[in-house]
Amino acid sequence: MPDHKIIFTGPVGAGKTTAIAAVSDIPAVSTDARASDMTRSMKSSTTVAMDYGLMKLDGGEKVHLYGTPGQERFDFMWSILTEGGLGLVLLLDDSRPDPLGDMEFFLNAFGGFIRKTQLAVGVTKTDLRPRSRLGIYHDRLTRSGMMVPTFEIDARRRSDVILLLEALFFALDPGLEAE
Amino acid sequence: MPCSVAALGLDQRTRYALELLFKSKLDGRFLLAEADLADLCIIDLDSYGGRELWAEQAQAQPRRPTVLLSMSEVETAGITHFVRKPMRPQELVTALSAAAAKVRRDLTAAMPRRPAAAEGQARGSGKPVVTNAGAGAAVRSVTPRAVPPSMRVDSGVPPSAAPGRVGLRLAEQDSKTYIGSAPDIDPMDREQAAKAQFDPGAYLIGRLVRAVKLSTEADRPARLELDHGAVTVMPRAGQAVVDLRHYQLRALAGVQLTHARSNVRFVDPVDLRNPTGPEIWPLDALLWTSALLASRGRVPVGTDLNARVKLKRWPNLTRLVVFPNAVRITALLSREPVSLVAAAGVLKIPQRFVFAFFTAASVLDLVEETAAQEDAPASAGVAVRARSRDPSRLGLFRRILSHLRR
Repeated sequence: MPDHKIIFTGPVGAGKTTAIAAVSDIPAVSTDARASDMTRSMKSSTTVAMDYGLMKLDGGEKVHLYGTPGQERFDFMWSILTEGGLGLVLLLDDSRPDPLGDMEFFLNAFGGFIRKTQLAVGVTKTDLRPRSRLGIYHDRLTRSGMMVPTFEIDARRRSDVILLLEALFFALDPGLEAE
Repeated sequence: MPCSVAALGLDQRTRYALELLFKSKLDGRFLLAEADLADLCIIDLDSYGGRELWAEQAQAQPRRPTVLLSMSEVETAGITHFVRKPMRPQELVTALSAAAAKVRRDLTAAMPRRPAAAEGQARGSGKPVVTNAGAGAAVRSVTPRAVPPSMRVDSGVPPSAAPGRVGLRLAEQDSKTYIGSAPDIDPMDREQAAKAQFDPGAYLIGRLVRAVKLSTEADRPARLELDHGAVTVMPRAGQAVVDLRHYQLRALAGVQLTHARSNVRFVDPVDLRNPTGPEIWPLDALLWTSALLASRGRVPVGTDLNARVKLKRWPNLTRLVVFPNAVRITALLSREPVSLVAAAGVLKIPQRFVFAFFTAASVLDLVEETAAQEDAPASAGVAVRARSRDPSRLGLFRRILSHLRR
């Protein structure tokens, strides 16, 4: 029986580990290690291999949930990870100094995969700012020729992550449930 | 309807075990939910910060039944139940059933009541029914309160001054308040088309939009004063201060205010950090909700139902009221211009869902129209494009969606 996968990516601390845990049917596995100097100020540990979760569908089918390593020096794994993936969830930390730059980086890094599948963007930690800045993410995406689901999310809220995934699949095919 | 349970202080493995218990021993009558939306909660007092969690929950939702888990005895009464660890499934089932019975009694008792009456009763004093003999925990007075169904619908809408916590997923049965129950129409039949339209200016949404416009132009907060309360809009901050109770707002937004007094005046900036009494809403969420409640499945008067429309961008659905089919409608209208009637046809859903979505999205300036096409709205062409992806994956996507919504 074929297995499938959904890829979660984004910068360190954007909530990939938490988002995967929110929808995984097994305790999410995170291979954490002591952070490098680059990331130590943000997290005491960060994901250097990958996060992993699993959805077990009725009938035994499995959907693997992979979180890309948070540190860019592991980007050699990204092309391997995305092979055969159903879609990409990009999580962006709105409280970082340059979240739009982060977005640009990941759009470029996963450009080929996005063109073949679908992208959904979740912007986290938006409550740290006085008002929503979602519009500027939309503007940047539009300039890149993309109109994709882009929501503020709290990665700890299962309902937020589910809605983002639903949007990912309906964006692939709005007629999915038109029976 | 299943009883929703918040599992607090429980690790993921215990949550899985609980879900298994719900399915195997309780016939799916319970399901796990997030803390702010659950009917009852289970708290592991032995977890790190468990007693603080209990205190926080008791303060935040003092009328919600609670099941406490601990290895050491905890004295409880009334709506609080205790199960000693290591847990035996039957003991947990008994405690959950008792807590759920309380939830059902409250709902039943609330049915014939008017929200205002229920609110008044809720404020009345009552005997303390929960006491905590545990060390360091506060003793709380709790008055069981009947929660009117109308307030349950709103429970996730504007819960606090935290703008990020507004999103609400409406169940099918709750969506009628927002979407109505109007039958599909033939857009070529003028009489039927007229019935599918409403005048936003006669509703709260029209007055809110006007207040927002005035406020934006003057770059000052504007206060919309109504007979029962007021709403201060601050477009620059993207927020609104709502001096109305939930049920008042919902009632006002859903009826014509033709003869009601209303006035807009500019006010000084409101200190958002210390709201006292009124609630702070994200402005988009307030406009979206008010538009849906006025629309009830209709479009603003003058809307060309044959015009093809397209979304400028996706609405921030995690922070808005999301009714059934809203995500599908968003996905379709974000792909290509399509008429509202054709969109309903492609998605095979009642037109009222698309009409309500269009109304709410228009208020947030998310929709652009293209010229009407005389013979365009045949839905087949759109359907083909929507299904152009690998058909072998459609079944998989459906199974994943079904799994996520369990």
